[in-house]
Amino acid sequence: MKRWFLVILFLFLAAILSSCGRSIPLEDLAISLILGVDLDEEDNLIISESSPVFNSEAKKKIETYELEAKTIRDSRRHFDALTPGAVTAGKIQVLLIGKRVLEHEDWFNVLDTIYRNPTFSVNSRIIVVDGPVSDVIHYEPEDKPQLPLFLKEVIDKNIDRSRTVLATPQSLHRQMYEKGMTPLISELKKGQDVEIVGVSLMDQYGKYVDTLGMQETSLLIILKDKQTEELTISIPLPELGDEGGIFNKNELSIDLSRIKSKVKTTYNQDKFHFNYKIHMTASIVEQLFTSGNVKENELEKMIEQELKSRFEGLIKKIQKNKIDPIGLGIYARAYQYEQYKKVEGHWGEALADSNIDVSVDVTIKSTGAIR
Amino acid sequence: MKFFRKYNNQPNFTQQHNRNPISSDLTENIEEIQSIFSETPDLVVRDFVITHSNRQAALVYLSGITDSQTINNHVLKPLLFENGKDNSETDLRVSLGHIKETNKWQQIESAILNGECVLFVEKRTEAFIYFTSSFPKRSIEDSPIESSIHGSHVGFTETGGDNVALIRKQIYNRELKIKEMTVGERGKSKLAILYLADVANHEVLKEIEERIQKVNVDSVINAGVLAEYIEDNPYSPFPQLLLTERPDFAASEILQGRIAIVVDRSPNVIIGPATFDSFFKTIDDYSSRWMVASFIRLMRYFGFLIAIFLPSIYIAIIFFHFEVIPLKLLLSIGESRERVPFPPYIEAFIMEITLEMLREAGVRLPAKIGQTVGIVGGIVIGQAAVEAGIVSNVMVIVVALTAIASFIIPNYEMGSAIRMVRFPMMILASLFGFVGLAIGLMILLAHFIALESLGMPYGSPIAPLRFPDWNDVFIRLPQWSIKKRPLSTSAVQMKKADSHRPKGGEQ
Amino acid sequence: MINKKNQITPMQFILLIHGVQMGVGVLTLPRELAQKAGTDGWIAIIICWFFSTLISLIIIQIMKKYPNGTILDLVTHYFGKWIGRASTIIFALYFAILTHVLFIREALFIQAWILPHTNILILILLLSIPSYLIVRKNISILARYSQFVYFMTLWAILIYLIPMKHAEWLHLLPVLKEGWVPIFTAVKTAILSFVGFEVAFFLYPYLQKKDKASLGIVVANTLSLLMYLMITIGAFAFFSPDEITIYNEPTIIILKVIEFEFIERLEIVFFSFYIFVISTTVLPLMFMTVFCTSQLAGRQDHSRHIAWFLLLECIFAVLFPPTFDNNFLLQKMIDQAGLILAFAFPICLWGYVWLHGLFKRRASK
Repeated sequence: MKRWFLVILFLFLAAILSSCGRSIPLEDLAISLILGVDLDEEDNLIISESSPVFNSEAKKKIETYELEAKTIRDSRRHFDALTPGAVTAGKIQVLLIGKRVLEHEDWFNVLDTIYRNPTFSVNSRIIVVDGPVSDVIHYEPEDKPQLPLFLKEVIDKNIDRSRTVLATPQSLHRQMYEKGMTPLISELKKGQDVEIVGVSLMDQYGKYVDTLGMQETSLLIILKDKQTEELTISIPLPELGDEGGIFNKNELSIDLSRIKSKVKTTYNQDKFHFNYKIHMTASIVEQLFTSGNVKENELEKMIEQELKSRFEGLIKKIQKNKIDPIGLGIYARAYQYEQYKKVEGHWGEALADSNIDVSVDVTIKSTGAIR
Repeated sequence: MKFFRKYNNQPNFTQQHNRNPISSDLTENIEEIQSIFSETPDLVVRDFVITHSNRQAALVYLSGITDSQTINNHVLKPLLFENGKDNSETDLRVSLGHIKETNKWQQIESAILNGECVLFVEKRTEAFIYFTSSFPKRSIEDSPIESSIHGSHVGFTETGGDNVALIRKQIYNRELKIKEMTVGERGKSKLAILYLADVANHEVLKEIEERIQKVNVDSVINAGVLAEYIEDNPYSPFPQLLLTERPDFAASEILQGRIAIVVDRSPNVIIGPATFDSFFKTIDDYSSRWMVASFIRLMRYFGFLIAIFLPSIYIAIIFFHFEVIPLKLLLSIGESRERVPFPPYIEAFIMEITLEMLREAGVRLPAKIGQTVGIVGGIVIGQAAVEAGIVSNVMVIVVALTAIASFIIPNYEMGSAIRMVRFPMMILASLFGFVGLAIGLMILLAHFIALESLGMPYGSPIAPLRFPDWNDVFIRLPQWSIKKRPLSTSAVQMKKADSHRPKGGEQ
Repeated sequence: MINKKNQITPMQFILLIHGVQMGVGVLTLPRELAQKAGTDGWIAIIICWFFSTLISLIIIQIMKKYPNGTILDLVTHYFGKWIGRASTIIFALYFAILTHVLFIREALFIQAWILPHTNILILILLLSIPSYLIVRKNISILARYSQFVYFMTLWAILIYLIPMKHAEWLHLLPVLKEGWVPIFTAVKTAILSFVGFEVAFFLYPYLQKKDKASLGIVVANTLSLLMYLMITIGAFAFFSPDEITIYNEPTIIILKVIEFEFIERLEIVFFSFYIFVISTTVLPLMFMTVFCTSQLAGRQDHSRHIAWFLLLECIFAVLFPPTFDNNFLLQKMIDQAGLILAFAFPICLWGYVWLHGLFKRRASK
C-alpha cells in the first residue's frame, strides 16, 4: 500500500516537473559573439551584434545586425525581431566600444546589464575601436577565421606577448570603481585591416584621454608588474654613432625575462614619492651592429639608459594627463593610507604632483647562438 | 498466499507417508520404492543374491545420473562374485569409499535422486547407500564472461562439489569451513557456504544462514535467483552481492573475510557482503603490477561516471548551459545539431535505446551472427542516422563513449545497473540541466550511502569513510603495503581479532 | 536507546558540524564584512572563531554531564518534564525556521543563477526529493552523507585558487586601516556564519568516542575558520575594496572569471555542485527539526515528520511566493534567535549546571 502511494506520488511529481521544460536547444539560439556599443553622428546609441549561423545552406557563417536602441537589453528585442534564433548573451567573446562612446563621461552605466545579468560572461575581451564600430563588425576578411574568433585570438596573442592589456568586463569594473587607478582598455583600428593599436587610457570617470602604442604598453606592463609570457623590446642605441642607415644598423632587440619591478612608496614634503627599482634579465635576440665594438657591460648600460628615458617619457605622459593606469594609488593606499585618504577623490591630480623615480637594472643573460 | 498454503501441506503429507522405517521384507521395500518412483523409466532395480552371505538383495538406482562403471566394478562385482572367507553377516564388501547406512525412506529417496545407489538386503532393516553419482557435467573451462589475462583459466561449472573443490584447491587451510544447506522444496538445491572460520564475521554468517532458511520456494534455478532472495534492498539498481565464475576470485574474497555461497547446478558463486568497490576489481588487478592496475582501476571508476553522466551532460549542455563549452566546440556542435529535428533528449533516447537493443541482440545471438549485428549496428546505423539527420555527430560519439565506458566495468551486473541508471539521469538533465544532474547524483548518493549488503555498509571505504582501506580501492598500492583486511567485511569487533593476525589475507 | 549502528565517528562529527556551519552564508560573507570593516573584515572572522570555539567547548562540557542523551533529555533531567517540553518546542521552532530560510534560499539561488525560468515551487519540490530520502534515515547516514560531500567538494577549493592570479594582494594593506572599531561591528555579522555548532547538543550522544568531542568541535570550528578566511581574503584581494560592496554574492563572481581550455563559465558547473554543500547545512538542520518534533510526539520514527515538513515547505511556497527580500527579513529574525540559542543559552545552562553540581556536592557533604 505504502509502495503504491510512493509510486503514485512519484508519478505525480514527474508530471508536475515535466511540465516546466522551457528551454531552447543550442542550435535554435542566436549566440551573440560580438557585442558592439557605439554612438552615431547624432549621438544615438548604436548596438550591434553578430552571431554564428548554424545552417549548412547559409552562405555566410556569421550574421551581423546593427541598430539603434536605448539600452543593451532593449536592443535584444530588436535583434529578436531580425534573427530566426533567440538572441542570447552568454557567450559574448568580444565587446567592441566605439571611441565616440568613451568621449562621454558616464558611458559605463550602459554596460550595467553585463554585471547585473548572471548569464553574461565577464570574460569577454573589451576593445575600444578607433573609428566606427560598424566598420569592424562588418569586416569579413577572406583569409582569416570568423571575426569573433579572429579578434579574440589577436587580442589574446598580443596579451601573451605583453603588447596590450587584458581588459574584460570584470577588470574594467574593478578599474572603474577603484579610486586609486584609472581604467585602460585595449584598442584597435580598422584601416586596411583590423589591427591592434595598443591601449587607450581613460580618466577616473571613464572618459577617454590618450592612447599608448604597443611599445609604450609593454613598458606600462612592466611598471604594473603584470608581464605575461614574453616581452620583447626593440630599441635603437643612439650611442653607437650614426642613425644606422637604411638597415637601421644601431637596432637591438632584447627579450626581457625575470622582470621584477619594486615600488617604494613614501610621503614627504606634501608629495607622494614612488621609487621604482626595475630588475630584468635580457637575452639578445637580434642585433644589427657588430658585437666587437661594444663590451657587454657597456651594452647593459646603454640599454638601461634607453629604457630609463622611455619609462620617464611614459610617466610624464601619464602625469600630464592626470591619470593613473599603473595603479600607483593602490600602492599609496597600502603604504601611505592616511595621506592617500585625503586625496582619494582626485588621485590623478595627486599623482601628477608626485615624484616618480625609475632606476633600471639590466643583466644580459645571453647574446644568442652567434657572436 | 493460497499457493503457499497448499504447497506447504504437500511435503508434510509425503513425510507422513514415509515416516515408518524400512521393513525387513525385501519385496515390500521394492514395492515401496516403485510406488515412490512411479512412472520413472530410468529407475533400475537389480535383484541378485549376495554370494558370500547368500542373501537376496536388490540394488536400486536411477540409470542416467549414476556412474555405471562404478556400479558394475565396485558394487555388483564384489557382491556377486567375491566369496569372502570370514562370514560375518554385517560386512558387505564393496570397493567404495563413501558408504552410508539408513533406515529412513526420506533419506533413501533423496539419495536415489542424487544419483546414489541403494542396496536393500533381505531381512535387514537398513539400506546401504553407495556414492556412485555421476551427473552429466561439462569439463572445467575458462569463464567466458570473466576472462582474465594473467589469472588462472579455470571457471566454475554447474557441479557444486567440483566448485567447492576448486575453491579448496586455492585455500589449503583447515579453517576453511563449509556449511551445507538445501534450498527449494522441489529443487532441493544444495548450497555450500564457504568461509574462513577465524576470519569471517559470524554475525554476517548467521545473517546469511537466516536469510537462506527463510527462502521458501519451489526451486532455485541458479545463483542469481538465490541472490535476489537474500539481498538487502530489492529496489536498488546496484547489485548487492557479487556473482563470480572465477574460483581464484572467489578464493581471494574468502581470504578477505567474505563468505561464498556455492549453489549446486549454477556456475556462479555468490559472495557477500559485497561492497561497491569490489565490483570494480578483477583478479588481474593483483597479477599485474600495481601502477598498471591502479591506472586501469581509475579508468573503471572514470568509466562509471561517464557511463552514468555523459549523455545527461550532453543534454544539459545543449538544452541549458551552452555557455560552458568552449566556443569552437560550440560552433561545431551547433553545426552538427542544426539538421537534427528533435530536441536533444529525444535524440539521446533514440541512440541510447538503439545501443541497448544492439547489445542485447549481440548477447543472445550465436557468436557469428552476433558479430555481424555489432558491425551493422555500430557502423551502419550510426553513420546512416547522422546522414539522415536523425542524430548529430556528437551524439554518436557520446553514445559510443558511454557504451565503451559501461563495458569497461568488469562486473556484468554492475555494468547493466549503470546503463539503467543513466536513463533517469537523462530525464532529470532534460528538465533541469546541471541542477537536475546534481539532484540526480544526490538521490543516487542518498541511496548509495544507506545501502547495505548483508547488514554491512555497501559503500564501505567511501561512504562510511575508512581511509585505512583506501590502499585497495581507487588505487591498488603495492601488495606488501596492504597489510590489513578491509574493514568492510567484518564488524568492528572483528577488527581487533584481525590486527592480531601476523599477516593479512591478500593473495 | 542508541544502538551501535546509529553512531558517528569523530571525523563524521567534525564534518557534520563543519557542514552545518558552511553553507549559503559564505556566498555573501565577503560583502557583508567589507561593508562593515573594509578589507580588515577578515580579522573579525578570527575573533568570531575564538568565541564560537569557546562556546562550543562549553557545550561539550554541558553535554558531558549527561552523556547518553541529547540536550532535550538533559534539560528534562535538570528542569523537569514541562520545561523540557518547552525547550523541545523552542529548538524545533528554531531549527524549523532556520531550515526553512536556508532551504528556500537554496532554491532562490538556483533560480537566480542557473535556472532563471523555472518556477521556484518546482525547484523546491525537486530539492525535497533527495532531502526526504536522506533525512528519513538515521543520524549515521546523515553523517556519512556530510562526510562524503565534504570530500567530494574539496576540489572546489583548488578551483577557487585559480582566479587568485588576478588578485591584487596590496588591497589587504594596510591592516587595521581604520582601527578596531569597524572590526568589532563586523563581528556581529561574522559570528552568524559560525552558528551551527549548536547541533553538537544533539550529536554528542551519538558520538562513538566521547573523549574526542572537545577536539572534534575545535577542529570543526577551525575548518570553518580556514574556509571563511580563505574565501574572504581571496575575495578582498580579488576585488577592489571600492567595488566589492556592489556585488551581492562576490564569491560566485570570482568563479565567473575561471576559464579552461575545455570548459568555460565554470560558475554554472560550480554552483550546481554547490547544492551539495548547501545540502550539508540544510539536511542536518532539517533532521534536527524532525528529531525535535518526533521527540515531542513521543515517537522514534521521524520519516513521517520529514514528509510533513517538506509538504509544509511546498504549501508555504505556494501561499507566500518566496523572494530574496522576505527571505533575508526572516533570516534577520532567526539570526537573533540563533545568537541567543547558540551563544547565550549554553553559557546560562553551563552556569546553572555548574552551580547545581556545586550545591549537590555541598548537600551531599
